[in-house]
Amino acid sequence: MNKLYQVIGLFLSTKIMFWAYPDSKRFIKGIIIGTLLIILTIYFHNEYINWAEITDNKSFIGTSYIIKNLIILFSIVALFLYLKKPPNKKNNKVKIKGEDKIYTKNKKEDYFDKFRNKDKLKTKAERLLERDGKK
Amino acid sequence: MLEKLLEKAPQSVKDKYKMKIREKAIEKVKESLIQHNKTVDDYSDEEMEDLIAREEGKLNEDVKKTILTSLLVAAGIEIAIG
Repeated sequence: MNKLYQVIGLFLSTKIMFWAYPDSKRFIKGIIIGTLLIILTIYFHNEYINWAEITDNKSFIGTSYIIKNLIILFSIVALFLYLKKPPNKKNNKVKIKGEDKIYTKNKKEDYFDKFRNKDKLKTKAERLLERDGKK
Repeated sequence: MLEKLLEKAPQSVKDKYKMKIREKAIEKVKESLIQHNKTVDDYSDEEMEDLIAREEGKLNEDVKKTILTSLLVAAGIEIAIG
């Protein structure tokens, strides 16, 4: 049961984290891909060394080390640049199909900005109650 | 319950939540305007604010329902497993 709660907790906290900080998705993606690339490079290099020892074909061992370290260095630099690069700031406003029809000459797409920037929106009922001094 | 939860949350999370809900509410209002072949000129600013505020209220209710359902499902699983 505890395991189930842990899994649910992990799932929910990841969802909340991605929702609150969408950039963390990019960060985790970069770290995972970078680590995977480095682990794969080390694994394949080890495999090559084992094969070279078994077959006694050691002529390229020196070069293999250079290539391995270059790949690792390249991965780290690429990861660093990827994380440093500012993400494309996507426009938060979602465009709906046929949205242009609802706008007029006077009121265009920025019409809704004043509602976006308001702290609290009031319904008609709330306004009436406020006017009557009941609230 | 949701309000209390939001009070405890950090300001950045609160702002993010409010922004997301507001944007979703505006989307819903736009969709309903498109469905009913209306333009933004057909409504005064107060009426539009009322529409968006109502949608916001509905969305908050939906979030509450989702949280409650998840808790009930978790409790149900616990009872089922024993």
